[in-house]
Amino acid sequence: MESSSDQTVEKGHDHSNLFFVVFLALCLLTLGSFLTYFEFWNTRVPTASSRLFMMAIAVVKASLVILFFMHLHWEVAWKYVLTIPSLLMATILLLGLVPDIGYRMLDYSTERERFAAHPQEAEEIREAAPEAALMREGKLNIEENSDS
Amino acid sequence: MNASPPAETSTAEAHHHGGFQYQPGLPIPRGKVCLWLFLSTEIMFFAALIGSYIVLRFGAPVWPRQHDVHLSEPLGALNTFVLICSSVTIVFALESIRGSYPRRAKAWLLATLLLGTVFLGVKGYEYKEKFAHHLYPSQPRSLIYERPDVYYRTAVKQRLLEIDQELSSEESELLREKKELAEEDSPQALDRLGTIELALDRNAHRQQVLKDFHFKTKLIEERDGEVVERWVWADLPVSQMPAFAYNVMPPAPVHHGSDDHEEEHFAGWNVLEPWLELPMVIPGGNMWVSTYFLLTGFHAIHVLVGLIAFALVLPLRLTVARAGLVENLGLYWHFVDLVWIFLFPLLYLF
Amino acid sequence: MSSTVHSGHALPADSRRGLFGRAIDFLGTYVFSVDHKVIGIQFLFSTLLWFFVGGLLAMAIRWQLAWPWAEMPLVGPLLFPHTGGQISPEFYTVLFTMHGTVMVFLVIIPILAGAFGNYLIPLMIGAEDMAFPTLNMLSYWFMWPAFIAFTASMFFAGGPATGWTSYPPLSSVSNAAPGSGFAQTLWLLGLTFVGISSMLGSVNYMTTILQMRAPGMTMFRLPLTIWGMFITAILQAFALPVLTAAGFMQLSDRLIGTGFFIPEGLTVNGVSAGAGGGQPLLWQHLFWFYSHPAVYIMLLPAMGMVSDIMACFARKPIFGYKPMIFAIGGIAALGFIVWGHHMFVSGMNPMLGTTFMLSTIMIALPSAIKTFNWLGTLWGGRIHFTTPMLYSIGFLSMFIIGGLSGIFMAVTPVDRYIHDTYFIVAHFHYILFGGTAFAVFGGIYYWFPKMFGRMMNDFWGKVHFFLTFVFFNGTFFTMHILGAGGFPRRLADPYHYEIFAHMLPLNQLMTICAFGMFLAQIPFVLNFFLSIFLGPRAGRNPWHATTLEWSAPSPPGHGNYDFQPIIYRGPYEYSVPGREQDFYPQWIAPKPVAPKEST
Repeated sequence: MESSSDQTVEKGHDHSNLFFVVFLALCLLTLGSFLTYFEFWNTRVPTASSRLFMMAIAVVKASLVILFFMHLHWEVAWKYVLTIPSLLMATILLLGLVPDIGYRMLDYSTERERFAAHPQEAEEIREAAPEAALMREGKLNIEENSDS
Repeated sequence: MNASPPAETSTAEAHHHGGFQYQPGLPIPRGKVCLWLFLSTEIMFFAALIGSYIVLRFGAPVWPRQHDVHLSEPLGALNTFVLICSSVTIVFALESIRGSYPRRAKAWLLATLLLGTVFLGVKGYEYKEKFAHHLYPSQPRSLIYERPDVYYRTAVKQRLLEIDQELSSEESELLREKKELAEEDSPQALDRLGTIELALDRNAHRQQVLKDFHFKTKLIEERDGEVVERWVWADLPVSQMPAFAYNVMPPAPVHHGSDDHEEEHFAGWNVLEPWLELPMVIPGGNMWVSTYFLLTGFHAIHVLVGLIAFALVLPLRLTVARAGLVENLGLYWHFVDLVWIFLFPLLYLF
Repeated sequence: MSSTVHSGHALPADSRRGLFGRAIDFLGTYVFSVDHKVIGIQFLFSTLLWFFVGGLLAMAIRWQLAWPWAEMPLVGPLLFPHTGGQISPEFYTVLFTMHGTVMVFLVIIPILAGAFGNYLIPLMIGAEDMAFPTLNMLSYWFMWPAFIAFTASMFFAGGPATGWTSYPPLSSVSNAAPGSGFAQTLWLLGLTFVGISSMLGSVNYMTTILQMRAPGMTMFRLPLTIWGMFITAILQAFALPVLTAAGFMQLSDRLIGTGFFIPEGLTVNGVSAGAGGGQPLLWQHLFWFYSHPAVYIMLLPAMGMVSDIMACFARKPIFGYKPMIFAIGGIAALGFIVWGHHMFVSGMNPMLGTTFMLSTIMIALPSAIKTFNWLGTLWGGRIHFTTPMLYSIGFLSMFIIGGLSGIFMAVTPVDRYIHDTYFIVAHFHYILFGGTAFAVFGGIYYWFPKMFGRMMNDFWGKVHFFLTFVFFNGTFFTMHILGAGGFPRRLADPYHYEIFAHMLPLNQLMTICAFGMFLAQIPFVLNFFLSIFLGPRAGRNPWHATTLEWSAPSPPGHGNYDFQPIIYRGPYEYSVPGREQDFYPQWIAPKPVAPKEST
């Protein structure tokens, strides 16, 4: 910490080729996570593992940017002092939020349940497509005041 | 950005003129220390936003799928690519400054500025798409409902009545004005008459659209011995609300991304006739619009701040003395890129 | 009086200022100054003014609690002429909301970090100014939009009336209460500006302390005041952005209709509250993630200041210098993982509650280390009972009471009973007034000679101390009794409930004591302002202290020092055996045959 030697990025040393390689790697990784968009991947790979895959890619990309573009690879020990505490705090914050907000569905009040979105209803809307087409064409028989 | 002082790396022995000697704890210029500390605070800021998003999202009973809310993965990926490009151009700008190529540095900086602008442009286009589909939070409440239930039905009925009243009052207003103008004979009056005709046509079309909903009934009642005719919106049975919701805002077909559309996807009444502004059902949609707009919005503000900083630096002569300034700018810009690297999978691909 | 032995090279005093500081126009020197000392004093005067405002609000609260619905002097006839000067319950909520807001955000945090931090950090580490003087100036001027927003919020319909914690859904839904309207939006804007100001300040302090220490001033030769400020700045930098983010979420809930903190199907006053799908508890988590560390932001610099004052007036090195630093660090680190103990009664997950209970109880450990080290410092010292020393001892004793009552609150089963009663009010007033405000008074008496070049009157200082001390305990100790009896906080008229009716006389006693405490500040104010002009001149080092700020002229000119400070020893070399003087300042070069040198 106390050393005053000037160990920032060595001036004059050209990292251009390295930066270009990193850039290509970032593009490839982005392409990699974008792959999950296609149907093949979407139908064959379980959601959980594809999410893990995407987050792993994001972490790798972030590390590449931090290490090379932000020059942390070449810096001395201070980089840990400035980066690790905030990452730790961020993790603690997220962990602290999980039991109360992340798991809030575990004991939802009936009051909220009544107004909350229901998974099966999301499907119902999707499945109502044929009925909706009839409604559009005016062929759906509407029972007036059926339930009120 | 911040006033970065000249790098002082004085050891206890070195003597400087007109300034005190210091014993720096970290072997980097003050500006860079300050910027890294600032970035730590930014990490916490986005940790709060992204953390809230994660717990709100994965704790939610339902979350809309990307295409239900007209989120386009290719556009998101394009924007990721654009930001990565801009990151690498600012890196090259710094390298050029350090190698004493001020003009080349300026070109790279300009490229960064342009790429950042492209990013904002794409973002703006995406926002426009969302707004066109009425996907936005608003006061006192947005058009998005969580369930196709009796509350939704009430909201729909209320909106239809509202439109009906608006249209009929507009029609009577237009007719009254038309009658008044018919007696005048000035060119302005003729012009105005033309506009009124167009407005009447539009009004008639809208009334027709409204009639096409097919669940409007004519009710004739007697009030105070007078026969009154009025339109009443029939109560749709709740069992038919999913179909109605489908028509307002159809969810995307389950197999997305492929180009073999078996049937043409229905656009939805709200898109075909945007003036309808009918309430729509997107389970989980409210939290989606809340988080999407706040997260991308704050990221976009950071991009904008970066662009302003680039625009301020661009006219300067980018000599080696300004390497520290551009380095700090670059660090900030990479951080903005970093945030997007996490936002892209979390918002677009999950 | 003064010790003017200097070493190093004398530098021309005027050559080290930026172009702004050398400008002689009044605006540049005294208003938009970039000099850390001027900014520090600007912070000091602003916060003392707000201290007065916050005190007035407290007096109004006490009036209502002692003589409920009686005509409130001045305020009553002015604001409520139609009810015969009787205030409304809504106005009472405004009173306690703004009392908390003003005292926390506009007094204690800015007086410690802004006033003392600004003034002392460069002086104590041997820097000519802050690392970024312009940024420093901005951090002061960003307080003004906050001042204006908070003040304005009090005059809009209902005023901000959701407490200083601003819990949703009351604060998120505009029609929830008279006080949830536009005033609440203004309140949130004020909070955001305070946040920006603190953020600018804290990165500046950290950079300055890390990078601008004089040669020889290693991290472990820093006075504890600077350590307190440094760790506080870290806390602010890491915790505050979370509150800023949460504040923006609440603003967007209110203004653009998002639903972060609004649950599904919420109807307020018969109107749907809108979107939904959010979670009110999320706000509490995010708010306390900042506001618990904020408690330490309001305490750690005070602890550091008290340590310096105690060492000086006990004429002894601080007992356990490094353990003190690690204790501050430990408190700060633990401070990040205890925020949930404010939420035990919020319906949070019990598993999480237990975790927070354990981590909270652990904080007693570093706090006890500090307390015993202070006692160890006093033990066997040649104590000079000057006003700053009295305030430091007052701090210590009040902090012990406040700290012990804090352990009650940390334990979930006990907290469920005493939460939201006056017990908790007693606890945090013991920490924040008995602790921090006492340290602040001590700090003002101690550093006043440095700030203004003159001494404050010691006799009237002691009068101020004893009156404040007695009336303070009279006001707040009784709150423990009320709280244990279940007396609820935040109610305009708790006597409405029969079980609390018998507590009225005790409340009247407290109110009389509170008025006494308020009036006891008159000697301080007079002493302060008269001493600026009439006090006896102080030399460079009137207290015979060892830390670096006392080597500069009183008051220091631009650039602080008239020599290049070089540091030879730790900050607390008092009464070192075998030396002819009872104190060895940090800047004095050792004799050729130096006795054993400590670090």
